[in-house]
Amino acid sequence: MASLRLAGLRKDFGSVNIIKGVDLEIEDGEFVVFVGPSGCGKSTLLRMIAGLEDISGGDLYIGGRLCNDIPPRERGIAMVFQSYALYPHMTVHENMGFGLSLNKTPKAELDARVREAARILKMEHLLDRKPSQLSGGQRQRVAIGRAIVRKPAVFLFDEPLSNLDAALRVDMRMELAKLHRDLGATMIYVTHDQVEAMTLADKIVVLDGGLVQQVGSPMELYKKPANKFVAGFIGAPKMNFLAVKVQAAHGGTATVASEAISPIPVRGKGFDSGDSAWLGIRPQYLKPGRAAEGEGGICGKIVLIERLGTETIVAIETRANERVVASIPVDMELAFDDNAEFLFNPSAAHLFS
Amino acid sequence: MCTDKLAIGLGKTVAVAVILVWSLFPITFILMSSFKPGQDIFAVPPKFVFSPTIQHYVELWNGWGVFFGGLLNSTIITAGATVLAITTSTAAGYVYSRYSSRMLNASVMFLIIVRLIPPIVVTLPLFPIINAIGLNDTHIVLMVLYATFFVSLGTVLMRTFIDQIPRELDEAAQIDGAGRLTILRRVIVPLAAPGILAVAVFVVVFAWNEFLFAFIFTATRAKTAPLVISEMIGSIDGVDWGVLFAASTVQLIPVLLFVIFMNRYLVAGLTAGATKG
Amino acid sequence: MRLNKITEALPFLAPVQILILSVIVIPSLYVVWLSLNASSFGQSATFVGLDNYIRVLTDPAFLLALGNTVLIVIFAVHLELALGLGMALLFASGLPFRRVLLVAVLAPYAVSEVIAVAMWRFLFDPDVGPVTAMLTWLGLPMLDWSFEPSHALIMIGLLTIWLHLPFTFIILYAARLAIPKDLYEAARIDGATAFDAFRRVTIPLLGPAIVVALLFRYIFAFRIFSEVWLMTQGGPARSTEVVAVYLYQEAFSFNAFGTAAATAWIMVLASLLLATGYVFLLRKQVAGNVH
Ligand SMILES: Nc1ncnc2c1ncn2[C@@H]1O[C@H](COP(=O)(O)OP(=O)(O)OP(=O)(O)O)[C@@H](O)[C@H]1O
Ligand SMILES: [Mg+2]
Repeated sequence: MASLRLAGLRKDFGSVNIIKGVDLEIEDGEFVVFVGPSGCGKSTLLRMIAGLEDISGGDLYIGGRLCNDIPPRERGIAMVFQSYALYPHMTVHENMGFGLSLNKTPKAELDARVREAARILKMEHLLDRKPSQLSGGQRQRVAIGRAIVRKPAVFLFDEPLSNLDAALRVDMRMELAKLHRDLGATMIYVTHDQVEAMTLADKIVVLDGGLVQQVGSPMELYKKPANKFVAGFIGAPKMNFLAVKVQAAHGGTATVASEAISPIPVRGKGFDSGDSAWLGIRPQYLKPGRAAEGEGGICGKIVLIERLGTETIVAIETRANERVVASIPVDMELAFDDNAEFLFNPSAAHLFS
Repeated sequence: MCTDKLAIGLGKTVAVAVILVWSLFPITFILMSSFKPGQDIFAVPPKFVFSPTIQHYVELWNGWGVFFGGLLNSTIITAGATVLAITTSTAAGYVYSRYSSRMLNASVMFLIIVRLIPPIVVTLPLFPIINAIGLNDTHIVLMVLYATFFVSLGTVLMRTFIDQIPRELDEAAQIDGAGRLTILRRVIVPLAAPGILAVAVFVVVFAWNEFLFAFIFTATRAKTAPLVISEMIGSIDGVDWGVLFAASTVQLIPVLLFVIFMNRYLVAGLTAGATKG
Repeated sequence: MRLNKITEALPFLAPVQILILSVIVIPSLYVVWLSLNASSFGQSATFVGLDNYIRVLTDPAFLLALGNTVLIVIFAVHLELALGLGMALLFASGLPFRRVLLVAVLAPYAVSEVIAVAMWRFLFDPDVGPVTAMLTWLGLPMLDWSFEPSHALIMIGLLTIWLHLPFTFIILYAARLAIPKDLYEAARIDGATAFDAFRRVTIPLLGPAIVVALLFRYIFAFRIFSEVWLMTQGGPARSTEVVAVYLYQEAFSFNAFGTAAATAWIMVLASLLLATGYVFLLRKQVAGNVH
């Protein structure tokens, strides 16, 4: 078990700066998820922790030990790859025991540890098969089993579920959460799927452009996104952003308005009257109906209706040609090109510069 | 429509028959003739039914002991050259596949260009040097020469084959605690086996059959089987065809079986070798 | 760290590079020096500039050898290409027992030049050769290869084709198999006849493979030695020599290392010239693949 500390970690590929200084504390036994859009450097950061990429600048501590120049095998980590990276010429047993066989672990102990891991993952019957004889989900298990056998202090996962179909992904997600509870090890998990991030993480690290945008628990990120990027990234459907002008500001409250929205007061620090800003409202906080005094109101023409069963996603286009998405109860009569009105509580809205 | 199909089928059959005769008749002819008694070899048209005899093999054994010495030399040299070429080109191909730098990329071009230098060119300076250091007529000279003329192709081939092994396997092994050499031995080599076999086919066939270098660099002790056979062809007092066919059969059968057995790898190697450098 | 990694790779790289440098590159460069000096085995050298090149290039024997080589290259390689292409298309059109037939076609690849020459000499023997007998029976002229230089060259050309057809065939066949089937289906839907499809789909897509096969075979046919040496030793009266045999004679029969070296470099330069074309095409192909 180990804690991690990343201090000003940087990575350059040639002259291109990919990781631009990441500071992060990871507690012992924590489940940390790195999320961010494709190409933001999640994998690179994970691979730097694993020791597969050199560190261009900054310090990496694992369990209090400076690990910048320590080879992967001595870092006490194990990694599960997106492609599983199972050795195709070895059986499942050999795959899982490969690391132990390299450091000359006695045969009996090796076998015991492989079987223990197989038992945890309920795949004792697969031990003699080759990876090519396994389904995608089974390969995934073997990859995780190979990590467990090493008894690492830190597990690293790089999008481990992205090659699985949707149903299996949900199952494996639950199993991973259980595995984390059972083993109590530190886990770092990379994904670009925010549902995985929200459901698995103790702590989410949102990355964009090689920088940490926000660190926090899933609900913190959902409720108090630090900036527009995080707000847009976390939550589905995506938060609505409407261009507004600040009409008045005092004491942490700003009064904003636009062509489509009549003036309302919302929380927002550091704004001056006359500023342009973005008003963010989650689709779940928009309710159909006419706004009363003190409520925000948006109206427009319906351009999209998606009935998902438990909810219906409605998109309207406002007079300012902005698209607004609302998630509403299922039993509403709606039709294309109808005018629709939505209201929201200003305290549920966010203001970003 | 039906007659059309018939005509095409007939045309194809004829074409296939011609191809088969072209490819196989000379080989079968030699193999069969080596078992034909005395004058049957010269029968016109060639006899396909005859009472087989091993008379020519007996004569070969009694009269051309040097041929069997040649076979042994060929075996040793082929084995040595193959091992040398395979180990060196696998190691180099691994580096070319997994590392990249401007120097390395430039040296790939160099590898390709080296293949284009005719082997006879290097005999000029090597002949006096090898004589001077007393290595002429030894196995080692031919092993090194044969291996060297295939390591450039071998390296490029191995790179092509190793490129198909996902890098994540190296990385997984690295995390499992394997060093470079262990990764190469335990992960890359087993998975690149088809490439290794393709290189092996090239080197084995070349080393087993080569004439020019053997002709120039060996005289007696390290003389290879093809060289002995060439002496049979050129013998002053007329060629003893029966014995020549027997010797040819003995030299040909192992490498023919090898090529037949390994045809998959030969095809893969030829294809990759031509398109990738 | 990066530097560290490359040095870590060096031990893996070194054996190949040492072999190539010490056996091929440095000796080849030494040949340049040899070619600029008059020397023979055992004597000290004197610098003569390009004298050796001039001597070689004005030597009728060399010019004859060069002519023979070019004839063989042009005759053999192009015929071989036509045959290989025909066979590739025949195989691709669907044959029963394809794997077995493929192995049969590959068989000559296993045959050494020495044995191939032995076969050919017997099959075409003027007195007892079965092929000679068949030619006579068909009323065709026989190949009097031991006296008639042009007949000998035809023999050598046929032999070269026989030995190397498997190579050309495989390259073209693999390239043909790599053309996706749906292209032909699309062409059929567009109303193309079989011949249209061949001309407008097969040939353009086989283009690169044809060029590669051609260049390889040019380069390798240009260095032909064993077939000629074993068949005729360049005779009668040096009339069937090729460049490599000429080189061998100069060096090892006449001890004229200077002119032999000059010949060697003429061979290298000719090959490199062809190779430049090859590398250039390869580059273009690689660039094409990127897009
Ligand atoms: N070896 C490399 N050389 C040069 N650039 C690289 C290298 N590896 C990654 N990059 C670049 O670094 C950036 C971050 O890559 P990384 O793989 O970390 O992204 P990611 O966040 O994992 O994306 P994804 O979600 O698509 O996996 C990308 O722009 C990528 O092009
Ligand atoms: Mg990634």
